Amino acid sequence: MQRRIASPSRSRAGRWGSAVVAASLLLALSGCVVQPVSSVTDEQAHQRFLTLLDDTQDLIGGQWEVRDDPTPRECVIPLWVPGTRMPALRVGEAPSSATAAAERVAEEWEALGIQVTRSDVGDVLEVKGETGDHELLVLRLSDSASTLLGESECRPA
Amino acid sequence: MLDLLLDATAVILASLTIATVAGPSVAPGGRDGDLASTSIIMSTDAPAAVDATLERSIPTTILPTPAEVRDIDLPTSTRQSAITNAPATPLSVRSLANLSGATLLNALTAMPPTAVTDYVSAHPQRVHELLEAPPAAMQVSGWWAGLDDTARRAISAAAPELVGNLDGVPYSVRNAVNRELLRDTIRELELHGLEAGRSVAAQNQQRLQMLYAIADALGPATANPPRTLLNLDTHDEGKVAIVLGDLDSADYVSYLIPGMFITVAGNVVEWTDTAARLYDEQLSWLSLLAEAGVSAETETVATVAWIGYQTPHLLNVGSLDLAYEGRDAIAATIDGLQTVRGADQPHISLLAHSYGSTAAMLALEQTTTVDAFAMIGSPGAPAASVTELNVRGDVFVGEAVWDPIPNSAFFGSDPGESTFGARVMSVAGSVDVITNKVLASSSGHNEYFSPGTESMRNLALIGIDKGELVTDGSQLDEGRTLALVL
Repeated sequence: MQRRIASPSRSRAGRWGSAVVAASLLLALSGCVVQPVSSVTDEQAHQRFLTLLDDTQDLIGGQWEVRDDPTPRECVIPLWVPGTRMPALRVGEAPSSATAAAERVAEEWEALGIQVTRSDVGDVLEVKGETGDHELLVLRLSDSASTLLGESECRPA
Repeated sequence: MLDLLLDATAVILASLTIATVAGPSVAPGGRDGDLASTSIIMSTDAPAAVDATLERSIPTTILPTPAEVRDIDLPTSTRQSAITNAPATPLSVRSLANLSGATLLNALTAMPPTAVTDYVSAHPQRVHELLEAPPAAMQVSGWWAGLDDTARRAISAAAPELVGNLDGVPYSVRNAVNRELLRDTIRELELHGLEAGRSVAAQNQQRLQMLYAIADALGPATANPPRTLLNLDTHDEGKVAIVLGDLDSADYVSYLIPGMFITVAGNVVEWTDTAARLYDEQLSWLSLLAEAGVSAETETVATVAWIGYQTPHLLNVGSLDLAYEGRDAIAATIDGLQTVRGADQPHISLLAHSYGSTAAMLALEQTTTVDAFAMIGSPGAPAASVTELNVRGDVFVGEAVWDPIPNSAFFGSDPGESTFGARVMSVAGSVDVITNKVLASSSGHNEYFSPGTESMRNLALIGIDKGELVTDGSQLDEGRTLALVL
C-alpha cells in the first residue's frame, strides 16, 4: 500500500524534478539571453567605450575631430535578442610616425586585454581591436590622416 | 537558424501564393491607366471619401477643421462643432476646379494667403491629386523659385503634405515642413484621435504608432550625419523617406529600395538603421581610400532609407500594380534629385531588394537614369537585359543561398542569368582581400542587409562607384586590391 502510494509520489517527484531541471535550464538560457554581456548600466557601458576611444586618441596625439553619431545602430545578442550599440567615428591628423603610433596603440590595447589584429591595407596601417565585451575598434593610420572607428557593446534594446 | 527557417517558410509561402493567388504578371491596360490604380489612390481613398461626403453634406460656406484636413478622425461631435464655426469659402476658387499640375500650383500661390488655406481646407483631395500626378521637378523648382516668402509660407501652412512631398522643392524646406507635419499630426492624434469610436480609435492608435516609429527613425536632433525627412505620407500604410547625409552636396547618393513586407510602421526604424550602416560602411571605405591616396580628400555620401511606395504583401505580390506605383515614385525622386543638384550631379545608385528591384527596373526602362544599380533577391522584370536599363555604369545582381525568389523570373527575365548581362555580386561570404575582414554570408531572402556581410560590403562599394572592387565569388577576387583603384 505504501509502495503503491509511494510509487506515484516518486513519479510525481520525478516529473517535478525533470520540470525543475528543464525550467532551470531554460532560466539559465534565458538568463544568458536577457542579461547584458557586461553587468553595468547602458550609460556606463557607453561611457566605458567612449573612454577607450578618448584614451586611444590621447595615445596617438594631435588634433581629433569627434564625429560620433548619437543614433544607435541595431544589433542582435545571442540568441536572437534585439539590441543596440553606439557607433563612433573620430578623424585625426596624421601622426609623426604611423608605425610607432600603431605599435603604441596595439601594445596598450593588448595590455587592456583587447584582442588585437594588425594589418596593412595598401599604405595604411590598420589595428583592429575587440574587447571581451565585444566592443569593436578600428584604427587606421597613414601619412595623411588617422581614423578611429568603433561600435560599443551590443545591449538589449 | 531560426531566421533562416522563417525566411525560407515565408518565401515558400510567398512563392506558393504567387502561383495560386496572383493574376498574370503583366500590367492590366496601359501604363497611364496603371497610374490610376496605384496605392497613392488607395492610400487616400478612405479620407477622400470622407471629405467628399463632408463637402456634399454641408453648405459650401463651411470648412472642415485642420485635423479633418489632415484626415485625422475625430469624434462626430467635434466634427459638427467645427463645421458650424467654420469661415466662408471665397467664390473665386471655383475657377480652380479644372486646373491641374503646374497650372494649379501657380494658381494656388497666386491667391491671397487666407484664400489658399480656405481652398485647400475645402478641397484636400486636390492636394492628393497633385501628388498623384505631380508636375516635373524642373517645373516645381521654377514655381518655388518664383514665390516670395509670404506665398511660400502660405502654401506650406495650407498644404504641408504637398510642399513636403513635391520633388523640386528644396530639401531643407521639405524637411522642415514634414517634421512639423509629423509633430502636429502626432499631437492631434494624441489629443483627439483616441476619443472616437472603438474602431476609429484603434485605427488612429495604429497610425500613431506608425508616426512614433518615424520619429524614432529620425533619431535625436544631434544625429550625425543629420537626418532629413524627405517624404512623409501619414495616411493608411504611410510612406516615408529619410536621408542620412546631405542630398544637396553629397558626392554619392544611394537609395535603398525595399521589397515585399516592408512597411513604415513595422520597418522604418530597421530600414533607416540599414541606411545608417550603409552610410558608415561607405564613409569608412572613402576615408580608407583617401588615406591610401586614391582620392585627394574624403568624399561625401548620402544614403536614403526610402519607403516611397506601398510594398506588397502575400496576397498582392503577384501583381505588378504596386511595382508601377514604385516605378513612378522612384522616377519622381531621381528627377527631383537631378533637378535640385543642377550642374553638380552626384553619383546616383539604386540598391533594390526583392520586389523593389522590379519597381526600379520598370523605372530604369523608361527615362530615369542612374549611375549604378544593384538588385538582390530579385524576382525579375519585363526587361530582358541590362541594355534595356538606363544605367550609365554597371548593373549588379546578388543571389543568396536558400532564397528561392531570384531564380523565379516571376515578372519576366531572371537578372541572374548570364544572358541578362548583369555583373555578379557575391553575397556568399569571404575574407576581404583589402581589409582582411571576415565577411559573413547572406542566406534566405532577408539577410542581404545584415551588418558585416559580403553583401553590405559590396553594396557600399557599388554606391561609391568602386565597382571594380566588388567581389563575384570567382578567383578574380584575389586580385581586387587597392591597386585596382590607385
